[in-house]
Amino acid sequence: MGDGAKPKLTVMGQSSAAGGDFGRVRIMGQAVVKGPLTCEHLRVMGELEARADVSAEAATIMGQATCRGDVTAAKLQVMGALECDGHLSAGVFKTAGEVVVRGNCGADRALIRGALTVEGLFSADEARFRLHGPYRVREMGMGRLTVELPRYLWKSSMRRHGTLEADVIEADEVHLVHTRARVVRAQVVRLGPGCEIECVEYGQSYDAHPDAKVGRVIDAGRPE
Amino acid sequence: MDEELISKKELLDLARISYGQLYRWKRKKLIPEEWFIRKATFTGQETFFPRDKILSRIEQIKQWKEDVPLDELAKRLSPAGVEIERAGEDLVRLGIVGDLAWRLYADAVPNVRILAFPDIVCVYLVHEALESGQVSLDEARQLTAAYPRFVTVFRDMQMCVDLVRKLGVGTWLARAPNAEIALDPQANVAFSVDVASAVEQLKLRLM
Repeated sequence: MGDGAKPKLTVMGQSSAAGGDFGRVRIMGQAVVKGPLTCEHLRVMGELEARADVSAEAATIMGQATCRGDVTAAKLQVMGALECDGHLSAGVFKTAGEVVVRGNCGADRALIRGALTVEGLFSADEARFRLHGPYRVREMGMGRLTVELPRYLWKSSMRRHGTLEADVIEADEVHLVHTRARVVRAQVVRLGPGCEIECVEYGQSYDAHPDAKVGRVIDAGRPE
Repeated sequence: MDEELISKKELLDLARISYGQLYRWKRKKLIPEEWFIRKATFTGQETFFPRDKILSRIEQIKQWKEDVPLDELAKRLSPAGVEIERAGEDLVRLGIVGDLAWRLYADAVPNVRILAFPDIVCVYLVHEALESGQVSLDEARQLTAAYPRFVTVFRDMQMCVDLVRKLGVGTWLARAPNAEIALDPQANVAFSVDVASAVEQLKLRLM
């Protein structure tokens, strides 16, 4: 059906598959995939357990997906839950669900709106975090990182919001709110309310909201 | 083997690149994961790199990135084998290996005309060995015999190959790049080559 010669895989009930190379994969029931899965489109509306690597051109997870290997996708959208034991890499990564990555997580562009845990490095050219849930990332390496409060239509100040916790954040440009980190290193640093940073090293500019708690500030751009 | 290390901050200053670029290149696998060495310092954990390797790699990337897409560049720079085949005479003509090295290899391994990539690496190592002036023809011939065994052990070709010589008798040794070796004090390493970087150079020249 327009996918050329590649077969389709649709799981409606409960089933298991060996893996392989597919065109369109749709999981609406419960599926266990035992081998590596490669496909053009992956759509999980039910539950997928992949015991090896998963790679897709475009993947949409609206249900639950667990992957024991690496996840690779040019475009990855998570609205449900995704757990990845290996590394996750995506071109465009959008999430409004819950994502857990045990390895490293990489994306060209990322928009994170749900909850996120990355036990390794999260790297992206451009990442935007909207603080809906708790985010825990061990290490971040970014081009531009923006952390902002979620946008609600009304009474946004009364709503609860999450926080971002990280050990090290390194980037060209960071705009942070409600972030707890040990070290922030960047050329341009802008800290908003609720930040607790032990040490900031900046290259070009630094500016902090009065409600931000900062331990030490080091101007790394100035020759010593 | 101890290599000189460079801290991440120094690297960024020296190479004039930004965090964003460094991480992008890492993500695209232009810079191998093994080069990110974590060490505890008084400010907490810091990342260090093998100085010479990373600096030359970054120069390469900067030079190529205008003309070659990053994904393509990653393929060329990765140590993994590639699907290249060349006739031995072509390698000589391209100036990648010397005529002597090729003739020696063709003598030692009969019936070769077209070389697959791992074999090209072997001829190249023979060439390097002979060029160094430290390796005799006979020892170079031994290398061609030992090489298939090395490749079965180090399938990703992340290895160093040394010629250890004692009392004029040489033997070839392959080891992981950072592995320590202790030698009989009477023996010495006559010749050593880092196969991973040889692979990289070959790829850049052949692709």
